[in-house]
Amino acid sequence: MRLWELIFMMLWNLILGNHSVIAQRGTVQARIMNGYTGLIFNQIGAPLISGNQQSYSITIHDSRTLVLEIAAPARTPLMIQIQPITEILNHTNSPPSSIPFAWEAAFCNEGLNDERMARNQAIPLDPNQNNFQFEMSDYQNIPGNPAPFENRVKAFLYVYGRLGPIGPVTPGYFTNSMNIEVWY
Amino acid sequence: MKKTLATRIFMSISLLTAILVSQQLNAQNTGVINTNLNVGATVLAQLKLTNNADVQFGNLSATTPGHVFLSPTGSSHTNTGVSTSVGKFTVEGSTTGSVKVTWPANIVLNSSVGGNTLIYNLQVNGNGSDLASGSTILGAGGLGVATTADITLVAGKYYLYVGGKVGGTAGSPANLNAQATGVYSGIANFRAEYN
Repeated sequence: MRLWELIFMMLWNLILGNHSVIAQRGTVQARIMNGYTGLIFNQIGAPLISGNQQSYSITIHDSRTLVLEIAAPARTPLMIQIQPITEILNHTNSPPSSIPFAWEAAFCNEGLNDERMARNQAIPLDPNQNNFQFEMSDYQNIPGNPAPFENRVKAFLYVYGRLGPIGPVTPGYFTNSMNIEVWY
Repeated sequence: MKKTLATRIFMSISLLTAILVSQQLNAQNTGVINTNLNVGATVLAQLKLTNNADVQFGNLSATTPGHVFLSPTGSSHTNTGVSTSVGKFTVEGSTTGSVKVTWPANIVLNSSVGGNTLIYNLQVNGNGSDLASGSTILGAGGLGVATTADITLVAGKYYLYVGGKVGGTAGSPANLNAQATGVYSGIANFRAEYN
């Protein structure tokens, strides 16, 4: 075998190597929609008052809902893991006062790249589970659905929830953090 | 085909290169994307509105040379009786809470005798300190016109002082002119809510 044959062989192997993974190539991307600050329950005109027994909901159609956009090639298996929290806390007290929080989530994996379309078709996730497995759907070629970019189709995770009843807590700022992981 | 040692080494390297490239690209297809979701809320203290004093214009003449004015600052009243009282409310809530206060611009006072009435145009002053003399007029339009104001609690409190004028019509105070005698009274409802 001559040197040029060896070089050809190396190049061929490189090409074969790339070909063998091209079908799976294309990284998974996930991003939170721009300007998102969190599930903040304060709202002008609807203050949370200590002592009342009212509950407050952020629904899927609320602008405060977290929208996690996942872009990945069709058929990519995904696992979403949500580490739930059941309360938010005011740490200025010892022990901290707490308010019950129940997370809710919905997922749309219908091959829709338009977030508004996806939101209307999102299916609620069971809050008694923490792990959810999906396979990215094929792009749905329907009017109004933007074409895939770099062969990635989108799925959307919506996280929202319900706070309360407030109860006789010490006034102040209550907070907690939920961790969401997307495995692919 | 005979292979030299060099050939074998090159072939091995090329194979290894292909495997490494393949594994590296495969590695891009597994992973985890991690995000934290902040959940938060500010809880405010209960809002209280306490009526500390009622409005008293005192004994008035049925006919006055000028407007009957009870100043919310507690001084410089005109044509009122000797024994007067400025109305007072205390708003209590969260330390620096922003509160909307609403009240009627004017109310009808009814006489204890017959069906006589008297119009009372309110003026509401406010102060973050409990000091009527330092209070300032609240609401756009002032006396007989204003019906709402946004206030900011100071150390969880704010004070409202209520005065105004009797006589004339709603929004247009006037002197008393042969007003039917009697004891006139009415109720003005004040409301406070967090913004």
